[in-house]
This record gives sequence, structure tokens and C-alpha cells, in this order.
Amino acid sequence: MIRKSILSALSLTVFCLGVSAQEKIKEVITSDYNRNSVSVVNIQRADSYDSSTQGAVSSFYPGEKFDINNIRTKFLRAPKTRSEALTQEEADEVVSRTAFAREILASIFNRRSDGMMDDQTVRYRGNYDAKDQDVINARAARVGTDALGDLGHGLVSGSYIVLTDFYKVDRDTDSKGNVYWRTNAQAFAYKIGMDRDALNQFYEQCWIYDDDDPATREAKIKAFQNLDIPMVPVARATAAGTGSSVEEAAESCLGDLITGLENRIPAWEVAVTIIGKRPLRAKIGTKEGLKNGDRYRAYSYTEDRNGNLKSVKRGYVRATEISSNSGMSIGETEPSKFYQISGIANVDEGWTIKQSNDLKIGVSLGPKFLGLGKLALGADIDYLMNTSNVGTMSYLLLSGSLDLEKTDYVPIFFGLGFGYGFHLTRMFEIMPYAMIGAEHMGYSNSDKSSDRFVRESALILEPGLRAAINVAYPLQVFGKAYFDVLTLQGATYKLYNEHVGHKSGLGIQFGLKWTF
Amino acid sequence: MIALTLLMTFSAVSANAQSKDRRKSFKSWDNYEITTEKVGVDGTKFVKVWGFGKTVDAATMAAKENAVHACIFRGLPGSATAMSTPPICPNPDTLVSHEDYFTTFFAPGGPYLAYVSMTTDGVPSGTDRRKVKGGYKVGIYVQVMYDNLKRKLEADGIARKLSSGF
Amino acid sequence: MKKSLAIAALLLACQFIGWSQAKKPTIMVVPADAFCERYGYVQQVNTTGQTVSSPDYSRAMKENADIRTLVSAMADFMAKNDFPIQSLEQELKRLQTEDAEMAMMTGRSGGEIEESPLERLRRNARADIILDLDYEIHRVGPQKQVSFNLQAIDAYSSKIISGNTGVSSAANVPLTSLLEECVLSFKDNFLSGLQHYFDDLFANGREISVTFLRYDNCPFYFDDDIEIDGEDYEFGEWVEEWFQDNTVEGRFTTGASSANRLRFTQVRIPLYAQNRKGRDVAIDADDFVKPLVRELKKKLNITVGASPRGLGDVWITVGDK
Repeated sequence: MIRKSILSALSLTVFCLGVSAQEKIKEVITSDYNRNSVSVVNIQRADSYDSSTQGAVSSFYPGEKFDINNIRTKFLRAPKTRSEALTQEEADEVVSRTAFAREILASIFNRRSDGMMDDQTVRYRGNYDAKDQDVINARAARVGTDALGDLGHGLVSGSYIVLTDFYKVDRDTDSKGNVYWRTNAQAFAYKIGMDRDALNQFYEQCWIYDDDDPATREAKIKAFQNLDIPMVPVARATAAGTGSSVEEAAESCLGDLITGLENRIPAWEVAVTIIGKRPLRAKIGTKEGLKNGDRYRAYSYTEDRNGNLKSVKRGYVRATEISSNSGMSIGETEPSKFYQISGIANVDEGWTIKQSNDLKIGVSLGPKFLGLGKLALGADIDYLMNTSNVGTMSYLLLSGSLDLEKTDYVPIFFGLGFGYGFHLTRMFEIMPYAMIGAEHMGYSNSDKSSDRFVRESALILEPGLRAAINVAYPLQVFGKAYFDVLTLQGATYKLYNEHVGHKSGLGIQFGLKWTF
Repeated sequence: MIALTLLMTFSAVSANAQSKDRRKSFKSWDNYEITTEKVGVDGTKFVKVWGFGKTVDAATMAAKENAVHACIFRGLPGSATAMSTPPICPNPDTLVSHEDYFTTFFAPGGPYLAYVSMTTDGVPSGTDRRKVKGGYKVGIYVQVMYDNLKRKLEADGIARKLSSGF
Repeated sequence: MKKSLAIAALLLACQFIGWSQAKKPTIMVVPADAFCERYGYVQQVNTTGQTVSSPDYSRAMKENADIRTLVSAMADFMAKNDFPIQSLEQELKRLQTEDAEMAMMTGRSGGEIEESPLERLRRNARADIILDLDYEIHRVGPQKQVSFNLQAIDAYSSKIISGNTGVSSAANVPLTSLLEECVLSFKDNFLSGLQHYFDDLFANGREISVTFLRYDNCPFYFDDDIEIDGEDYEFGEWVEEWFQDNTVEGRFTTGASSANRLRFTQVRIPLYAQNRKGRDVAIDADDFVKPLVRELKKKLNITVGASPRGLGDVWITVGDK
């Protein structure tokens, strides 16, 4: 029954992924990526949580890949109790009441009280965003590298407001009696509705020159105040978090919200081309917020019969060595390195890779034969901690299994371990691992003594070897061989085990693994 | 001796084939895209040009040839901030009347290479590298030393100098 | 021996080619009227009682550094193409000195011929091609953008040889970068226009206009029959015949023909002619009509005057000077 439901869940996931892939088929993925700027604005509900959530949002840094527009409005009030989430319509309504576009422009162009503006920030951002190709191109052009700063004008249209909404904030206590807070959170992203034409119009109407007479200045100030540039809703993401205080709980959500939005806003996904092989290299790094293990999807390009450009999906890569590129490009940016984890063809130089976030969490499920018992259902969760250039990967492992034969005694194994995977080819991973865990038996509720758990458990040491092969990434088939060492049995465990009959021994497991 | 004869025959045949190939391509040599990126530094044209070849490298070489070809015979289209550039040899008969000259000029590794330099960062990449039927189509950024090329063709008597006749 | 003969023959051939070459047209960059108006480089000129504003070139050149940047950028590429540009500034200075000297020498001012400063400049500086340059600097917020318009004008026919308009990049960079970008932008198109013009020049000659005006004391009207070389001709007809004989491939258009006025346009004259000593010299409209004026004087025994208006236009007055 369990297996069936899991399978159906899996197939549903596959189906959903298939659907979303189909929707994207016509869209051509390009390697154009420019830095975006954000301002995070918190929604307040006029209650006691306002200050804590505001504190979390104010101290939040969305990451190096974003420029920050320091706008005046830091929070908005929504007339709704915190027990309910804000709907998109309500958020839109709240946003429309503030002239965010104007605030963004005032921030980007360092607008002073007398209405004067400058392009220092724009030029800085333009220079900072410039890629090696831009720098080389600028050198080939007469206007030269001086004009690189002017690329910044193009970045104005990549300004966003991220509205954070924390709701259903709850206080709870854990089994040890510690108080903790839980909150749900959602983020709404809005993009400034301003293209290059609108920007030029803004310059024409609102930009005050030194030699403008007072009347013109006045007219331009008025024009600025009357600017009506919409903020366009582009995405919404949700998250939940816990912490020892409301602020901490709120803080724990913010990173996930940004990741969630990243997955939904194509312009936020970093895209770059591969410049070399063995190892794969691409000119992104800390500036783009790249971290070890980050997943990117590779694309190559072709043309259809009518000469239309088409992007072709070519498997995934993970970042291995991250270069520190947080500076102005001089045309020789040090590339970061990548390792290909899937795809039939080798990722080639010149191909595009585009950010494709995942949780780096693999869930595997399958029957276990022998080992402690005879037949069990095992589920593992592995978290990818590190990826190296040569494809070795460190995993944190969490394992659990239930003996299917002696269900009366509910023998449950759970363990924590570390695995080190080697890739002989990208399709095939072999991972020696070691796990330390416990097996617990019994289900009685009458025993309330504090050492009950120890008495009902035994220490299990499990060295093993897991081999996994890609079927259709992220789906893998795996086989596992391990040796369970049963030791330090608690008194009750020992008693139960006389009936259950668990012992040290060699076991194997087969199953499927899905990476989320 | 026989080997030598064979070798000579073979090389003659291949050279012949090559020049035939070249002649064929001269005639149909118009099917490529070129755009002016920006006004280049003095004496140069800064363009993006496309080329086709069996491999990416071959396509890149073809693109370089195309860039020089465009400067000599086709001219460069203008862009929003750069005026168009007329061809160095506007007379459509130039290619035919100086075929031998241009065959040598555009030979693999030929003199044309001195007038073109690629400014693409690394290899043609992203959407500028397309696998198409029979090979690759690549787009590269190049700088053509237009003024030098013009002087060269003037000196070789292919193009007329502005001051000729005075 | 053979070798030295060959060398001698070659040298001779070179010389021959050298002799047969035409005079290189002179080129001068002049700020456009619109530019001068826009920046206030104008002066009020009083001619025949009417005050008209006309461009003040010497002020424009002195006060505007941008136009000097443009001119020197253009002079640079023209020099590379073996066509040194005549300096407007120097030419203006020369004219000024000349005028001052003339005034001292004659002690009276002229003024019978109406000529605008540009016409006077064209005539005196004798530039064959005028590059009429106009540009405007636009501000787009913090960015600057230069729009330009360069017309190459044949000083003889006032026809536009090559027109080049466009804009520079919009950027917050030193203005000189944008101005030089403009020059590089139109450079090759401009040169190609020039080449085209020269090709036409070699094939069909220069283009000028000639106007005949009749004074009251002229004994005949232009549509009258008069006796020349013992034959009766209508004056206009005789002149037309002269043009047929002396223009390149007999090309000209009779623009207007009345009793008092005859106008010939698109008159194609050879680039050069032999002077009295038999040497090849480049000729302008005035030079071209000199033999005609001489012939008329001789054959009709009346006063005939020729007053050039620029290089490519000449008025021939019959009956008086």
C-alpha cells in the first residue's frame, strides 16, 4: 500500500515535471544574464510580530548576485490578521498604493531633495555587471571602455520589489520543553514596468541639467512627482521556518523565499557559457552568488527547418570550485569549475548553462534484504555537501528502515552517516559510506521512564557501499551492500530480539533514488 | 619513386579539387550574415559575422573569411549608431577579373588573416554556436583592419585609390 | 645600355602620366549655416542697404573647440587618403590680411557685386569641395549623444556629392570620443561618395553654370540676329554652338533664354586646359569662359565682362562691365 502510494506520488511528480518541461519547450534559453536589483519590503499586520519580522527583513541580505536599491519604503501595512496569508490581489493592492517605481528611480539615480540626480550608481553597476565579452567589445569600439558604465542604464529595467509576508506565526514547545517559533512566509516579486523607451522618456521629462532655469526645474520636479510607472507582479514563492524567536524563524524563511523566486523568475537565473573542458569552466563565481554544488542545466543550440533558433537540453552540471570574481571585469575573469552529473553527451565548450536550483537532497527507497533481519523497507535521504572537480561528492546520510516481517515489534532502524561518492562516469556513482544508528523495538506507551529509549534500542554500526546509476536524471537506480553490526543492545531490546531474531550480518538493498 | 609519383599525383589532384571547391564557393559566396556592432577604433570595423563549417573551428575560419569578403565586396550594413560601410571594391566584376589574386588571398591561412582579428571571448558560445545540418553555424565578433585592407588592395592594384587620376 | 634605355623610357612615361594628371581638388570643412545659427556664430552684414545675418566662421572656429576636434579628425583621414584639407582658419586669416591690404592700397570699398561670405570664401579660398558640417549635442539624462550631418558640396555646381547623417552612441563619455566616433562612422561612406564624384568628374568633367546678362547699352537683344564671321546668327544660338564645341562631349543645358538673359546650367567643362604657354592648368568657370569673352569682344566689338560668382558660376555681362 505504502509502496503504491509512493509510486503514484513519484509518477505524479514525473508527470508534473514533464508538463512544465513541455510548457517551456518553445522558449529559447539564452546565455544572457544581467544583474538585477532588489529592495525587500515587509508587510506589517499591525500586531506584535511587526517589529520582529521587520527586524529579520531589514537585516536580510539577499545575496551577492543582487544589487540593493535602498528605497525609502521599508514596510507596508495590510489590513488583515496574521492568521491568514495575503492573497495576490491584496498584495497587488497594497503595492499599488505606494509609488515604488519612483522610489527605485530616486534610489538608483541618487535623487536629492532639489530634484538633481546623477548616474554614479548606474555607471558603477554597469561596470560591475560587464562581462569579459563586454570589456573586449568595448576595447574594439571607438567610444571605448569609458562607455561600459553606460551598460548600467539597461539594468534599470531589472529592478524588483520583493514583498515578504509572514503569517500563521505560532509558538510551540518541543519534546524537551524548549519554546520555539514557527512561521509561514511568502514573497511576492514585482518588476518595474520600465523599458528603454520609458527610461528615455524619464530622462527627457525629469532629468534636471545644471543649466536649467528655475521654471524648467520646477516643471521637471513636477513631472517626476507625476511619474506613473507600474510595478508588475512576476512571481510568488512560499516557505516556512522555525527558530528560537519570531525574528529567527522569519530569518530562516528569507533565503528559501529568494530561492523560490529565483526558480520562478527566469531573469534571476544565472546563465553563462562554458569556456573550457576538463574540467568544465564558466566565467561566473561569487559575484553571481555561486556556491559549491549549485546545479546548472546545460543547453546547446540548433536551428529548426525554418532557421529559428532552438535550445536543446543537455543534462546537468554542478559547481565545484568557485572563483572569486567580485570585482570589475578587466576581460580576464577567472572561471569557476563544474562537474557534469547527467546527460548523454559531454557538455561541450560554448554551451550555455543556466541556473537550475535544487535542494541537493536525494531520497531513495527500496526493499532491504538480510542485514539485521530478512526483509525490510528502507528509505534514505542524502544531502550533497560538497562536489569536487573530479566528481567526488560528500554526502550526509540519513537512513531509516522498517522490518516488514516482524511488524508486531515495530523494529525501526534509523541512522546518520557520511558517504563519499566517486563517479567512474557521470552516470555511475559508487559511494562507500559509514553510518551509526540505532534500532528500536517496541511500542508500549505505558513505560514512561527516561531511559526507556536506551533500553529498547541497540547501537548499529553500518559500513557499506552504494552504487547508483542514472536512469533519467534525477531518477536513479541504486544497489547497496552493507554490513550491519549489532552491538550495545539495551535490556528490553535484547528481550524483544529473542523473538525478532535480528543479528549482525551482510545485507543488500535495491531501489530508486530521486534528487530534489 | 612510384610512391613519389603517386604522392605528387595525389597532391596535384587534391590541390585541383581544392581550387575547384574554392571557385565554386566564390560564386555562391554571399550567403552569410554580418552586422556592424559599433563604430570601431580608427581604421577598423567592429562587426559580428556568421560562418558555417563542418566543425566549430572551420565555421570560425569561414566567419573570418566572410568578414573580409564583406569588407571587400559586399560592404557592411549600418546600425543604430554606426553608418554603413561601402565595399572596398564596389565593382561586381572585381572578383571574377582578379580571381587568381583572391584565390591566393583567401587560401587557407592566406593573407586575409592579417586583416581580421577575432574579439570573441574564448570560443563562439551560447546562441552564437549552432549545430545545424552538416556542421556548425557560429557567430563571432571580429575587428577588420579595414583601412589596412584597403591600402593593401590599392597597393596591389585591385582597388583604386581615391587620389588616383590626380 | 638596354637597361638604361628602358629606365629612361620608363621615366619618360612617368612624366607623361604626370603631365596628363588633373589638379587635385581642394577640400575645406566649413561649419553649416544651421550650426552657426544655433550657436550664435552669426554676424550682421550690410549689403545694398539690407541687413542680413550671415555665419561668422572665424568666431565659430575660434570659440568652438568641438568643431576643431571634428575638423582635425577629418583632416587626419583625408591626409591619409592624399587629400589634405585646407584649413578654414588659415584661409580666413589670409583673407582678412588680404582685405586689409587691399583696402589700404585702393582706399575704397567694393560692393558692386553681391556676395555672401560663403560665396566670397568659395571664390577666394578656391576650395573645389566644401564639406558642410553640422552637428548637435543632445543630452539624454546623464548621457550625451551627437547627431551629425555632413554634406560634401561641389563648389562649382553647388550639388551635393555625398550626404551623411547619423548619430553617435549615447554615453556619458568625453565629448571628443563621441565626436570622433561620428567622424569614423561616416568616414568610409563619405570617401566612397567622393570616389564616385571623382569618377564622374573624370568621365564627364566639372559642372558649372554660365549666365549672360544684357546691359542697356548693348546694341542687340539676345534673341536678335547678328552678323558674326559674315553669317547671321541669333546671339543665343551662336553661344550655344560655342558651348557645344567647348564642353565635354557637348554637355550643357540651356536653362533660360530670353531677350535679356541667357542661362546655361550643367555645363560640363574639362578639368584642365592649356594656358597660353601650352601648360596644363586646372580651370574654373571664369577660366573656362575667358576664351568665349575674348571671342565675343573680338567678333562683336563690344564690351563684355565676366564676373565669377564662386568657382562654378560666372556672369557674363554684355554691353558693359
